[in-house]
Formats: sequence, C-alpha cells, structure tokens
Amino acid sequence: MGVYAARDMASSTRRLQRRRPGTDAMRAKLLVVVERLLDEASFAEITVDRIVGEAGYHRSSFYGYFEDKGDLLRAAVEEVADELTQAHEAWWALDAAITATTLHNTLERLVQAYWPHATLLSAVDDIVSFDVRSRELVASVSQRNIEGLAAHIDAGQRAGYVNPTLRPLETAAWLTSMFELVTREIVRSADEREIRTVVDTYQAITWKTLYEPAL
Amino acid sequence: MRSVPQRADRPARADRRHDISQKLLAAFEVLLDEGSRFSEVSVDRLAREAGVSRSNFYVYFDDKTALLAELAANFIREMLESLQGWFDLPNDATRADVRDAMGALFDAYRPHRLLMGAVIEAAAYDRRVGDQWARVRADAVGQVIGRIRSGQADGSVDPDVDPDAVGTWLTLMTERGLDRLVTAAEPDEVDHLLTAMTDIYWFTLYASVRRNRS
Repeated sequence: MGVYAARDMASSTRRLQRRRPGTDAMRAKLLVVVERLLDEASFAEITVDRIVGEAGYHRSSFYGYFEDKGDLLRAAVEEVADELTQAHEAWWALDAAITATTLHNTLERLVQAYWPHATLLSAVDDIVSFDVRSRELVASVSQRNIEGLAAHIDAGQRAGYVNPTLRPLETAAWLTSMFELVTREIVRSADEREIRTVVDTYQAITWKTLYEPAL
Repeated sequence: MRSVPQRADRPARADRRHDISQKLLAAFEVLLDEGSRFSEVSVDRLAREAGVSRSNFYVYFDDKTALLAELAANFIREMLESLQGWFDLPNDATRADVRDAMGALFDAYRPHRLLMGAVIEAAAYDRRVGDQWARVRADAVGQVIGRIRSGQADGSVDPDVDPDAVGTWLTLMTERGLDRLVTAAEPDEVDHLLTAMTDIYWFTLYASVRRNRS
C-alpha cells in the first residue's frame, strides 16, 4: 500500500488521529461557521475577522483554538471526514447478500452524507497547492477511502461476490478518484434531482464493474 | 491570449509563436521537474531557462497565465487525439483492444504529467486558467459522451447506460486519476493502473452486451 502519492502519509495519519484539547462549544461553532461562510464566499475571501464576527466571538478567542484560518479549515475537514468514513464503512460492510437495491440504498446514504459538505471538501482541495498540511490531509483521506474499498473488493473476491478479474487496490483508487472529483464538480452544486442522478450513476458504475460480473 | 493581426507576416509570426511556446513548455517542465510550482515560477526564470528574452516572451503572451492557458489547451487537444483509437474501435472490440486504445492516452499523458498538475493547481485559484480548464474539460466530456452514444447506436455499448452521466463520470475519473495516481506511479504500477482504469470502462460500458451476445 502507500503506493498513491501520499509521501507524507505517516505524519498526516498521526494528525488525523490527534485530538486537540479544548473541544468545546466555541470550537464546534467555529467549525460550523466556516463551512456556512463557504456557501457565500471563496476561502480566500473569508477572513478571520469575518469568521469570528459571524460566530459572535472576539478575535482573540479564535487563536485559542486555531493557528490561522487554514488550521480551522483543516479541522473542519477532519471532522467531516470522520463522519463520512462511517457512510463509507456501510458500503464496505456489504457482504455476499448484496443486491443492486442494497447497493443503491447504501450509496444513496453515502451521497446524502457528502452533499452538505461538498463545498468544504472542495475548498480544502483548492488550497492543496500552497498548503502542505492540507495536501497531507487530502492525501490521507483519499488513502483511507482507497484502502477501505480495496479491502472490500479483496474480501468480496474471496467470498465470490466481487468480480474476480479486477485488481483491488488500483480499481479502488480509480473509483475513489472518480467520486472525489464528482463531489467537487457535480455534488457541490447539485439540486435534489441531480443528486438522484449522482446516486444512480455511482450505483450503475460500481454495480456493473464490481458485482454484476460475479453473479 | 492576444489576437494575431491579419497581416502578410502572419504565418511567420504564428511559426515563431509556436516555436517559442514549445521552448517555454520544455523549460516549464524542467522547472516543474525540479520541484518548482507554477505560482513560484517567474517570467524571468522561465524565459531564461527557455533561452528566450523577456521582451520576446511578452510579444507573444500577456503573462505566464496566458502561456499556461495555451499550453493547457494544446495538451488536452493532444490527449483527445490520442483517444482517437478508442473512438474508432469496431463494435466487436475486446477488453484487450480497449486497453491498447487507452494505453495511447497514458502514453500521451506521461511526458506532460507535471504540466497537467500545474494547470489543475492554477485552475483552483486563477480565474482565467480555471475557465480555460472548464472549457477543455467540457469538450473532453462531450467527446466521451458522443463515443458512448455511437457505441449504443452500433450495439457495442450497453443501451441502459445513461450517456451523459456515465460519460461525465468516466471523464472526471480519468482526469483525477491521471493527476493523482498515474503522475507519481512507477512504470510497473502505471501498467496496473492502465489495466484497472480500462476495466472500469469495459465493465461499465461493454461487458454486459458481450455476455448477452455469447
């Protein structure tokens, strides 16, 4: 493993596991506020003053929790990524009883979980070129999703419900890359009808690639 | 990009412009390979590396962003040309045929992989590069959708596939995967990635039709 890009994987994994002290209402509020502001403005346009103003706090209290606004953005992404991992795990837990319908239902919950956070996830993706720690974070979240899906494919091949001709790791890497860019380019601005198409399309591609050939 | 005046010297000027942009592309890729990022590379440095004078640079390009937008457009044109083999596959093409066709895309991509990374990076914060990238991506998506439709018309592609949605997703997958997976991969790993990407195209578009035929 570790084939994919994540040169700084060890340090970023540690970061994901780290939990800051002072996890309290003020910190949680700042995480919510930055995500809400991203609906109105780009991350570059959002200042610390605006964030604390919106949250109703003093500027000094911000720096008790975060080094700068990039630090806040990464914390918000880590929080969301943990939540999304649960939705991914529901997919990876599907076993030999899988049907086109159970896959559809599971991916529907996954897409619904991503939908409200697609703007936040895109914002961090936008700053990876000049923020090393964001780059590490994005890489480690990708890696986690790739490895989880690859393990599911591998287990499914052994149990006979996943297409035996696929390479688990590389297939998981392409499917994960696909969903990452779809989140950014389609889910972010999707309305309810478009979200239904997203679910149908993800189900169609994964069903036909992973499961249908093993029936 | 500035417009080229309609004068008698136009072909010569277009040739010189092409010649200079090729030199700048090569220089830019050298700098990227050394670990520079587009945002850090100055016109001075780029021109020096390319052996082009700074003033000559500005004869042809307003700034380095204009250069990048043009390099991006040329690059995507080459990528789409490399897919011609896939567009032209007969309706009884095999999984191996699809893999060979996609291999041409990888071959076109690999020498310029750092360029695409730089374009995607700049597209995130520069409006002009972003707009340009959106245009070339829409063009690529349109061509993939067209290929799916023509495959459905000749019976080689699953008629139940939604051409617009699936064509868009497969194109986005290819873009992101080339940038994030193939760029940093070792040669034998590139081979596995080509196989895996082809398989997703194969099983999504073709495999169920082949199963029903036999």
